Amino acid sequence: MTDKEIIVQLRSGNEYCLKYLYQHLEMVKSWVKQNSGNDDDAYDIFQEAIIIFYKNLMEGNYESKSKISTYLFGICKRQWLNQLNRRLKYEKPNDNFVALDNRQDDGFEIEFTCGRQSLKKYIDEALEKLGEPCKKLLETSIYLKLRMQEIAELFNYSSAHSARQQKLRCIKRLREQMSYELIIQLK
Amino acid sequence: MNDELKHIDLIDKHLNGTLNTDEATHFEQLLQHDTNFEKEVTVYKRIYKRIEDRAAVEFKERLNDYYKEYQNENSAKPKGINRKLIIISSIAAAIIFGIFLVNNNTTEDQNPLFEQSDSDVVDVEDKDSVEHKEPIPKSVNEGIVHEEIKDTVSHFEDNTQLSIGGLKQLPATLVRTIEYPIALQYTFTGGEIFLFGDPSIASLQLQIVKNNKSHYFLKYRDQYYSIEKTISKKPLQLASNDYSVTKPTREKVKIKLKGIEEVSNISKDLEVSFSGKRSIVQTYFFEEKDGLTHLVIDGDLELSISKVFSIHEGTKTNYYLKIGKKLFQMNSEVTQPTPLKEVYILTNKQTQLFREDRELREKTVYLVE
Repeated sequence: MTDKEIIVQLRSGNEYCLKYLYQHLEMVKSWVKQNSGNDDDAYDIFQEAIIIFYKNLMEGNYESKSKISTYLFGICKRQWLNQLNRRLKYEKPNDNFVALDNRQDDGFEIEFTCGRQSLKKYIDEALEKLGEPCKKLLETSIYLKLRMQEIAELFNYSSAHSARQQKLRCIKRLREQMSYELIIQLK
Repeated sequence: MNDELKHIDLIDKHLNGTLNTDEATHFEQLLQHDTNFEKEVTVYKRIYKRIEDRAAVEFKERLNDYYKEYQNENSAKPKGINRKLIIISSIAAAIIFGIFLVNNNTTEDQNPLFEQSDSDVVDVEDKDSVEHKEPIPKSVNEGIVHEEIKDTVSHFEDNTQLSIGGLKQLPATLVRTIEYPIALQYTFTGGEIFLFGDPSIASLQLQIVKNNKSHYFLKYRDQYYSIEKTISKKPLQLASNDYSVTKPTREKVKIKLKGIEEVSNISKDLEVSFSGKRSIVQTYFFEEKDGLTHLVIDGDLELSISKVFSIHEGTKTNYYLKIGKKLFQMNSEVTQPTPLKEVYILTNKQTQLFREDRELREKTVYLVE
């Protein structure tokens, strides 16, 4: 797939095409390895770079002047150099904990609220109850920050306006399932 | 818009950072004078944060899947003689294609790339000996041929007409239709059950039982269906639900799941045409003609591996194009050429119907009363 083709496909909602970007991973791997990292480091920052690229593309902030590979590589370089700096600054001999510092939100976080309900679980359950297409719509517009015009195309709404209405109605329904007290109290 | 929706609208824009000046002023006012509004802002902030976090985690998981998929595709190369044959013939095909382009373009094209390659043209003998093999690589190894050819084609995209005019019609047997939810069908012969219609059924959802009169039932999603030995496909018949499972027997049954193709029908209201052109981005659109829906695909469809499905769910119809293992979803409201959108086969319940056939682990038959 060419860059142009990938961008057209991604913009039309075909997220699956992101897989073709992994052809550029090897290049990042070999660069990271030359700069005191390993394959896993390379995979992690490459993953981050894809996320940044995808979010920018979907938000309309990606200018396709350079090749996607150059763009990704640029992000990876910056990220890896930042990380190296951080490591050099904080790392003491035999200290392996530093590597954890940028992983707070990867789903690895420890549940301190064992045994009782957490805010996370409470909202998750409400979202599950909400069902599709609301769930997907909220995720795409809140996480990917897709514009209403694009959301309308993706979810087959007649216009940006009706997509917006739909989104607001979904949020309202979600909110109605939850109590103010619980949202404030739960951690 | 009622007040509540208006407030949600403001809060949403605030959290998205898209309030305009007027709205921002209004927002500030509400925040100061309306304690209830202030509360709601806190509530939505938390909800949005959670939606964002969980979408990020899910997205990363999907990326990992895509990566695995990418690795699989790039390691699954054919072996031995076949592979050699494919490589040789695909290189040859690419060269022939190259010659074709050069011949077509030398008059007006100034592209230095091809002025050079003119001198490398293979001799005629080579060309003849491989020409008849050309159709093989197209289907067997997309990876090599398509990329080479595509790269070459992209240079000439604008000034070369590679297609022969006119549309070809997809044979009616390849245009299928089906109602969703799928009415499952089965065959049952000596220790083996084939279930047709949904290859995504989980093994846990299925149980085989029999009563003391040796009558068999299939339990699927807490519902009993009566089944009898049959070689020809039969629809599942709902049975009474008041059985209780007692003990296992020594008997075991193998279950094989097959796709929707064999329970689908030939569509009477959809016609599909395609251009046969190998374009960089394949597009499609729908048009209504004499009460028929007509789907036009600008691209090449290999007949042996391509099929179009329309799945009716209530009043809604979803259209899918399956080419080999790839699945594309199409929207019938599209009337202008639009790029074909590939969907991941595990996206939702309908796309999962296109999974490959599966064979489940042998199941023990239980007795019921």
